[in-house]
Amino acid sequence: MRRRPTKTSPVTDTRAPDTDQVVLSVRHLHLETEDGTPLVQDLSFELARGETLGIVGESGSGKSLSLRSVLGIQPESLVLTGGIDCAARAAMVFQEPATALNPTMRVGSFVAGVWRRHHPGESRSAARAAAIELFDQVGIVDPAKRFGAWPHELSGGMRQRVMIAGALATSPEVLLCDEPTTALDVRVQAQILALLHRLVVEREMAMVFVSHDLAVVSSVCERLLVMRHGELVETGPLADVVAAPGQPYTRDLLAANLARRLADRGASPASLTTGGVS
Amino acid sequence: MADLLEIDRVSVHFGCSGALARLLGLGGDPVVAVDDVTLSIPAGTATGIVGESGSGKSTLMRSVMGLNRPASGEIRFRGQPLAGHRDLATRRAIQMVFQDPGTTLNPARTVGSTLEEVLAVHRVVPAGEVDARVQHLLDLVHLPASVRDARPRRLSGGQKQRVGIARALALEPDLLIADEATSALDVVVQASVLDLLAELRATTGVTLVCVTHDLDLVRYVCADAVVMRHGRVVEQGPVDEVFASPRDPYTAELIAAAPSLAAATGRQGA
Amino acid sequence: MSAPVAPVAAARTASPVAAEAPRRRTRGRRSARVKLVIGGTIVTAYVLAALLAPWIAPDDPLKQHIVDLLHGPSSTYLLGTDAVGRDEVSRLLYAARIDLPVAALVTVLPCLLGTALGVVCGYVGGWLDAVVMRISDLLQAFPMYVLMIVLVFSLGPGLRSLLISFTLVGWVVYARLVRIEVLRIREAEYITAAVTAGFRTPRIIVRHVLPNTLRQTVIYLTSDLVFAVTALAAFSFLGFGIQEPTPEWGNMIAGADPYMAQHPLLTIVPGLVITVLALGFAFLGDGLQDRKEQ
Repeated sequence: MRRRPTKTSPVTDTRAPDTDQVVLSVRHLHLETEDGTPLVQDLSFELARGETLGIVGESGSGKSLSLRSVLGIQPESLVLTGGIDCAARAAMVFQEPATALNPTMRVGSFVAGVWRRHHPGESRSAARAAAIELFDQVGIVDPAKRFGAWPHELSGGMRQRVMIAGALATSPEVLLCDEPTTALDVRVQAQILALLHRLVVEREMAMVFVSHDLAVVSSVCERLLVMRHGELVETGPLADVVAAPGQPYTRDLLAANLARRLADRGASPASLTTGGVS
Repeated sequence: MADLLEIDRVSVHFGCSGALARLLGLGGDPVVAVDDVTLSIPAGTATGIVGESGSGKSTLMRSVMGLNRPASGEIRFRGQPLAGHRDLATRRAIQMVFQDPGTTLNPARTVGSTLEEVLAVHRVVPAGEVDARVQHLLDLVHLPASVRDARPRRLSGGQKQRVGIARALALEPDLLIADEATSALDVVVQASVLDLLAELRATTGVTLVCVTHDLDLVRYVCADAVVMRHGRVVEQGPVDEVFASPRDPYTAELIAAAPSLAAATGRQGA
Repeated sequence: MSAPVAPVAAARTASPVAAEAPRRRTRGRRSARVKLVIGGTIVTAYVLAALLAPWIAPDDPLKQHIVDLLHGPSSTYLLGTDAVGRDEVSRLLYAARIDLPVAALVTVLPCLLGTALGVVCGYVGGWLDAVVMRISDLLQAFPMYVLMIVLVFSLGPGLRSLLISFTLVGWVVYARLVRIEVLRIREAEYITAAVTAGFRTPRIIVRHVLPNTLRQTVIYLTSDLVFAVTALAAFSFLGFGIQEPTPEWGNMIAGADPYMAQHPLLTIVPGLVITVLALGFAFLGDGLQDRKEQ
């Protein structure tokens, strides 16, 4: 039995999307398990060319599941209803580079293989050259040398760059990122986020970036969508939502941000008794 | 007057081969996880030990807990060196809250049973008062009495971490080490667990050490900060100083790299 | 409204959805319950038959009706009589009183020994682990039945040698099984918490490690019971196990063997009885395994 979302009308995007430029359209997406437990309810959003959308939510919010549904890689046992129209090529970057890369395949072969699949008829050497070029674009130093590396020989940040190269090899117009920096150290995360930002601008790609971390999302996305328990809570331009959240849950999320609490608190930590907003 | 915890030139190595292996040429190079670290934690303070993965921060605290043996150096607690084998009283004085709510509690036991066992083994209170003490502990961590008969699988991550905190506090330790205790929790839950730690510090006077990769967490909960990298301490001092004017370029990099909500909202996007 | 666009076959990057195997939760749960019910019913029926044998058996299993040797099924003897005139049905019922407890014993004893060794080896490790594992390697190098037959042969037929030989050979699997579980459990934080709380090793092993290995052990136990029941029958058939005149399904088959052509029921029915019991244990084990995987 479906629950009607109990929210007031969310903050709407004041800029009317140019419908010819809509590259991804999700309409009333509904995902439930075999015995009827809803995991995602009535999710709708649109993405225009070049737009960056951040989907934020806690565990169980359905954000990753929704993203995987766009590519059709959600668990097979789930029942999907609703419309997903992806009018462009979409590629995904996953969270855990350690498991998303085939450990028995050299990273260069992997990227070259993806490239060849999307450029049929091209030779192996062309694919290799393309892969090395992509390695360079994602900031891998000594790309030719790294072509023959095994995944386990690379650091987490490097592996993530390889994954991004693999995604770019499909010449995507939409980049789907599922917590791509959660497993990375903070400095590497900053580098990867900068890389993604640069790529999105240079290639005019649209991007959907899923994360539990509002601060991370805010550094690469201009629009925000908040999810909770499978439902859309609020959506709109990120700056607006953060400055003036319309929904109590969004306010709670923002209030839980430690940097915010520190700014609100003002006092030095040494004098804390019960710090922060309870 | 000695500080509560003194870490004196401690190094911890992993992967040391035995003499025979080295003789046969099969010995590998040991990994230096902690490299000649000297650190003092005064009683009653809240210190954050911050670093990226591989910095040695967790390894160092596990040495303090007696979970690994330093290759060199000495760790002193209240002036007394901590041996490899510790008696019950020493064990009691230093407790840890762990990272993974999924395995921090014995799945075959109820919450109440876990807490009762800890109290019973250390004879914290006479047998007749155990019930009341368990209730008191649950109150301390703001958990309802109903969780007492629940098994861990019925609890949320945040609740399990709270039970972990209650378990650690049951022994009335002098030093409480939180080893990435909130990393696996949702953002909203994390904030409430951190508030709980701060509150407990105020009410019980326990000395707190927070091991974390999150700079904001250190600023939020701790008064002092220690920055570690590759097994060494690169910087330490009061939190405000370290974050406002870091002396080490690595610290400055860490601070600069942390994504900030406030900064981003000024930007309008591409 | 924009022109309808065909959803493009989207590009996929490297091995997607690594860990997301489709979870057929409800179907598994239902089938687990069905198996448990079937298995439980069968086993319970056997246990009841064994317990109530003295009251429900139509005749004395040892009484020989000289006039009615190898009688076919009739109103007096529901399944007929055997070569020395004993009522088959009564013997089957009374045999349950032997087979069931003995099967349980020869399963439980190796389980106890193997579990104890496995837990200590897995948790403590070191030279004890090395020694015990090498002994188990040695034992596993021999075909199990051969080893057991040799043992029983040298110890002489009868219950005692069955127990000894099953225990000495059977502990190995339990030890390995439990040891693997313990190696995994050892890494869990609640064990670390027990160590840092100052609990002593024996307490940790018995109260924290052991209870978490039970589930896996019980599941294996049920499949071991299947083996035990059939192995017991085999041994008795070969003459190494329970001796005449005590009724036991295996020696009943052996006794009826020469008359198989004319009186097939005398061999088939005990065989069926063994098979159905084994099936019952198998369903139980499967059901428990299914439930564990939920």
